[in-house]
Amino acid sequence: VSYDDAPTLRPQLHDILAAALAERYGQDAADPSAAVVRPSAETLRRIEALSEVALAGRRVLDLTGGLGDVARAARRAGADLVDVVGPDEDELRIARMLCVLQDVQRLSFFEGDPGRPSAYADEYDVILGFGQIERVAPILPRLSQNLRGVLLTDLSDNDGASANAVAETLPARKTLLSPDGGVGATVACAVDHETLHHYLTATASPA
Amino acid sequence: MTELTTDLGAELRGLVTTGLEQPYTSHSGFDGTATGNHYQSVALGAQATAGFRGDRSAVLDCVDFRGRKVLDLGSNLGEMSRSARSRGARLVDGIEYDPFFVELSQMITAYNGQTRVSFRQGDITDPGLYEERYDVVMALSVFHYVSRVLDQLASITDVLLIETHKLHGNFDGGYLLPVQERFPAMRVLGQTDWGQLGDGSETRLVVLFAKDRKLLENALSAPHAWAEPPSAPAPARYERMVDPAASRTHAAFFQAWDYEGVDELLDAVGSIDIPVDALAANGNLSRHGYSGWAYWFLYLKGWLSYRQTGVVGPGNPYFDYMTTHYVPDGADAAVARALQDPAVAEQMIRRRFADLDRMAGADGANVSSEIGPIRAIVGPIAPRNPLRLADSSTGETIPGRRMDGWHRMFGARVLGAPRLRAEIVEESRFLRPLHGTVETFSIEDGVVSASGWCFHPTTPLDGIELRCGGETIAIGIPETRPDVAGAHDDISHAGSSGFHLEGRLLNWTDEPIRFELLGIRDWLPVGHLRMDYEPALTNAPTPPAELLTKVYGYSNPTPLQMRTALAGQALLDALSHYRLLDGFRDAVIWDAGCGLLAPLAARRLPSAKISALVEDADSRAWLADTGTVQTEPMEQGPPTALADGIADLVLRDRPLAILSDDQLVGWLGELRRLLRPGGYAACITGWPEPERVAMIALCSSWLDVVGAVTTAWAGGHVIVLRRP
Repeated sequence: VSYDDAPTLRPQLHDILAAALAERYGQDAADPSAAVVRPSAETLRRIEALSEVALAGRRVLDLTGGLGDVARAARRAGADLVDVVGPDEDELRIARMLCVLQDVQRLSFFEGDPGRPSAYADEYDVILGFGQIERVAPILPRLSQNLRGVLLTDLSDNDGASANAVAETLPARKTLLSPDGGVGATVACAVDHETLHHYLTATASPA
Repeated sequence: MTELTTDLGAELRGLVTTGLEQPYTSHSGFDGTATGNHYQSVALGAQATAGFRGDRSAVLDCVDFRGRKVLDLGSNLGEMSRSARSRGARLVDGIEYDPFFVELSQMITAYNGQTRVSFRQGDITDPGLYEERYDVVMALSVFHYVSRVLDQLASITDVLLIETHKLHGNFDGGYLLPVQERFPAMRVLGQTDWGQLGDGSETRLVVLFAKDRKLLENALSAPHAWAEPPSAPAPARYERMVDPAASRTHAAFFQAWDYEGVDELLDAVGSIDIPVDALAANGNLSRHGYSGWAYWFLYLKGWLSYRQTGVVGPGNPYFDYMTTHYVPDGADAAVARALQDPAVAEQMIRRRFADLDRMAGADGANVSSEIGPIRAIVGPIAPRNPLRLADSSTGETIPGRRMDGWHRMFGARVLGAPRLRAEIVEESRFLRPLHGTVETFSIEDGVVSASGWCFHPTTPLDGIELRCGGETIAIGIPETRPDVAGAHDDISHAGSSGFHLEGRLLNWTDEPIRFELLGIRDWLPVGHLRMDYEPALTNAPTPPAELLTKVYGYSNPTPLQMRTALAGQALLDALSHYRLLDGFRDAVIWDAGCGLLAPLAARRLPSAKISALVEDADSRAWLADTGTVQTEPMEQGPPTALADGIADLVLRDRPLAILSDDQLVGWLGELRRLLRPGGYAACITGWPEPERVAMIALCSSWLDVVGAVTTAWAGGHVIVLRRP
């Protein structure tokens, strides 16, 4: 049986998404078929940081939110599955539809508050906490129970208290990207250096 | 960033609905069956859409998906994948060959906001597909494909859930043999439907296989997990506009009263005076009802009288007919009951006349928005002479089985209304078994007569219908049965269950023929009871009255024949799904009494030597005299005097419900002793008993339960057991 002539609804889905993205994000949003739908400097930097992590076959929790640009990049980098937790219902719906349009598997969007421990039910190798460190820092001891590997996050000079909380729970740290403009350093943190080393690619060396 | 003004969910839902309604037909690669583009019934938010297949949630409830990684092969629209996830699976991957279905699966999942369920396009016959390990692999109705990659499946999983294709005696050779080479432990979880194209008697099984017994038990949600029969989904409904003038619902009237214009017709009807009593005595009303001309003549006359006098009551020809003749005729079960109250009758007639007034006032303009929609019931099998409704936009004919809206259609046709709204409701093939029995049944010169009782387990019935091959033979209102009410005091509507139906069969020959008794609620069938007319059985020798009285306590052979026919057919029909009936060699009929199962078994098991176990010496003598049993009848146990492994089939039509748990354990042990490995037993269980029998059989590990609840009958359900 051949399905060469099977119909497709993707063009209609593309149009619905393009209209929704234009209405919600204006010029910030690119084509819904693009790998990075909101290609801000911040998002591109986070995606760049992923290349420092050995993601192949890993289970990833993404607290970054947004339209799942970083999460899809993690899947493209070989992550076994990626779960995204975010609070914005509209954004989650758009993100789910983007995955349909782009035929991305094993990427799930959970509606929830990243600052609430109840949002995390599974174990993960990598947690992406970009832009969320203030919300996540208070629950890091609980969150670290779900973490087998590394936490990736941004730390700026203004994040002193949060940085201390991270250091307390995940003392081993490696700076993946130096601060740039208004964006703080992108770091990977783990409970110890052995773990850190284990989860970073060969090009990176543990701090 | 601004808030969205568009409802993205509604847009996605619209897209999915468009997809499900696309004129795109997928074909089963197995047998070429066109399954449309809507094979699975899917949950879209809170709404369930009706697809080719019914609900299969009951069998999935038997599997413990919690925390497991699941692969769904041939995932179609993804409903089973999502169901596994909603039952606690950690992660589910669905693989489907048809890219359109993959797309729809993804959209439905996104619309529902479900997580950890993914779909991708892939060829499940490709051995290279199977590299990643899964805790459970589901292969539902795709065995034709996965049978080529069983070795690969065995390398990636320890637990395999299989739904068979439609079974036709091939369960042993087609499924158990190849799968048990790799997954020796198995449990049949239950039966599922074949889909909307069949006549409802087809079956599939869902079987859980595992590498060993412990893995199997771990994968079950409970040690004795056993699925309820599939429940009936809500009937599909959709709206059309129909053209009354092009529809052929009142052909007899308009042939008899063939006038150019409405005024001429009304003048003609108004000028003819026929006494209502005389007209009622005319056979046209009693024989043809709405299909004849006389009823509509009276209806128009009644309306014309009402227009002159404004009165609906005695003296109005239509009111007089409806209150004095229509009720006793019982031509319309639902309406007849209401008309017993004259005030209700007046109200109903005023409503009908008001519709006519509205149509007359519109003078041929469209009144479809002011007149309530008619309702047409359509079925998977159209009757030979359906009600032909014409779709006003496409001209397509809608073949209705019955219609609620005869009066509006008639008025619209007479008064020139161009269109009427119509709600089209599809009968479901997924019906629950009725509980009941046929006590008398006869066919004489093509006239079928059946009486007995039946009720639906949960829904009171307002009609009972007898069908044959999709044709309605007769329909009646449930009658009062105090004896049934007394015997089932836990079911409040059991007393309203009696029926006596009579109707003419078209093209009657003295061949075996299948009938279906349908329980009707609100115009739609909600349950059924099947029965086969077996000339071989009814023509079989009847035991003498004194023997019947001694063994069964009554002397009338007819109930015994009916009981035996229904139970025996149920046993053999159930068995025929698993193994071809002509493949059985040594059959034992347990507790044969002086009943008539033996001649039936002799006819349907042509290769089998049949032994009858009979307690009563006189019955033994009588059975031996009939010559239908090939070996001498002998005393029954347990234990019996029969040798170990003597049979590949045991039949029992006396309900197992009469046995206590201890007796049942003893009987099942004897059954295992008598059966060869791979041998089958089919037994009537009593009602509602299959769960108890299944539990004891499974606890003992002596026998596999491979099927149950295939057919309802007065004695209950059939359970099919197989010796491992």
